[in-house]
Amino acid sequence: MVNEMTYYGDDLDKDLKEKLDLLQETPARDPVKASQRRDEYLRKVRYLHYSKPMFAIAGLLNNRPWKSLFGQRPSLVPFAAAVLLIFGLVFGSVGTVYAAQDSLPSDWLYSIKLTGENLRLAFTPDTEAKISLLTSYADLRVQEAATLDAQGQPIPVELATLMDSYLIELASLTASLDESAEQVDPVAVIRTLRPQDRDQARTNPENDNQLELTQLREMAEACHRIASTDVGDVELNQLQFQNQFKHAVQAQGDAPELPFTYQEEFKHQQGITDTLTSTFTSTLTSAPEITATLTITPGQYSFGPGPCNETDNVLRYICALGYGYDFDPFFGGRPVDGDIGYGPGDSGEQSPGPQKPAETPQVGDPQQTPNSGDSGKDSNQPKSKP
Amino acid sequence: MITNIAVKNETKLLQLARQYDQQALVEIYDLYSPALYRYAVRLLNNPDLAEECVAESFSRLLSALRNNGGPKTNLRAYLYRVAHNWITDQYRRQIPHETVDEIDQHADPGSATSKIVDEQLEREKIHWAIQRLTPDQRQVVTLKFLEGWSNAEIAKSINKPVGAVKSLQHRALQALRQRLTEYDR
Repeated sequence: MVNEMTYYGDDLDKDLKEKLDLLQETPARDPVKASQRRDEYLRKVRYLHYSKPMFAIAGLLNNRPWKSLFGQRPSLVPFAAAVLLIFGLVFGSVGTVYAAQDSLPSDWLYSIKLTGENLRLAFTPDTEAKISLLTSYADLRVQEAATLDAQGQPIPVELATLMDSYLIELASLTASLDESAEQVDPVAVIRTLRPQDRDQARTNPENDNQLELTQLREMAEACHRIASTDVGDVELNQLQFQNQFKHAVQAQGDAPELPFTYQEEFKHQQGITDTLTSTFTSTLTSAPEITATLTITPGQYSFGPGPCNETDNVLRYICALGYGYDFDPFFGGRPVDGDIGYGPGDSGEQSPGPQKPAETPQVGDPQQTPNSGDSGKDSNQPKSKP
Repeated sequence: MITNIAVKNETKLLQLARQYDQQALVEIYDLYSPALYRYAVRLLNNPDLAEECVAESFSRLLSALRNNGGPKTNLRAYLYRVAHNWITDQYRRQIPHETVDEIDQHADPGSATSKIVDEQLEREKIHWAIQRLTPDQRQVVTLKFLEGWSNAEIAKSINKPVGAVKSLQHRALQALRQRLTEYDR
């Protein structure tokens, strides 16, 4: 029976509508959190964009579009698809791949070249052969950068991203090799690499290509060192931090281009049992000598002591990314006036240079120092893998 | 209600997004994340979880695109569906949320805030009732009466005919009234 209820469309009565209307108002979105989430999304988007060739192939293989061609004979599908794929790869694409061999990052054929390299890597079963391939790719990237520079073209930052991926891949490959192999100090490796290039870059701050080229050369040499020795996970992490830090600080000048691949790959890094302490000296042209000490233990991190105010956000960003913490530039240990150092419970001393790990309280410790901010809360929680 | 222009824009954006076009993917986020957040916070009654829901929905979109999947048309419906599934999972996990008693403690007795507290209690009550609907019923009620979608749009979003949407809506409202009565007892 239709009663006296007022109808508001379909069968929503007035009383219920009033109740539902209460939910129309929503609390205002926290702009800081919204911005962080957006930044996180942007990093994923960039990662997706730059990894396009590989994902395109993976998507093709996943979707198996040839399935519809053999709808009546499903048992033949894998075999026929494999044959078609091999024929396509071997004969159909030979010309294009050959033509792409000499392409540069600025050429449209370059993505085909990279795809070819990735396929070759994927179909190489032997670990040592893979290591050899990766180092040759690293050298190739340096050559390409040098050619671009010689032609007066800008060197794209994507080359450093690619180099990062080689370092990461080499890390996992060398980890499976003989443990008795020679151990190297990766910090020493990175510090001794091409000092003449670094100096040249510093004296010529206008030349962005030089900075990129220096960075790429150092990374390529790091690839060689990792390939020729057995660098443990912890040391490798340190090496990665060095590279990423340097890249970020260099990029901080005009247009911050902070690394995102690093976050993607190392977000869920496991098995770090020792405290890492690294001292960084930046090549930031606007502040030529900035030294800061980064201390990392599982579950917590800190910076300082040292005159590292200039690189505040970059430092914390790198650290947070490396260990899977949400980076929050407004919380997480911003120093109080007159204090130096970041993170939960840094030591607060002011002498530059390498320092002992700061006396960091546990995450969530109510006895945190005043400059520990909220970093012991959400921003310090490792994120779940997407 | 979305217009034809919006649909065309969305189709274009989706085409570009499938080619991993950065600008298109950013536009998609800026276009849909505010509404998706409101949708999530209405259902979850928790801004932090709502942010997580939005982030996860877009993350799943990127993953789907990466695997050459994801929506072929109707991006908005896809995003709401993903968000809805995420919220449903949250409900299943029985996330403890602020109870009426806790809200009451926050109120300053005898002050002007009592009206706000009353409203909050009512809001809590309708939340409680909505949470006890079936996932489909909850989605229809929310999209129809809170988000203002048409039956045709809802039908696309939940992959059901319009007739089924109307039927779901009818049953959902009946169930909602019943739950509200239960709450008052």
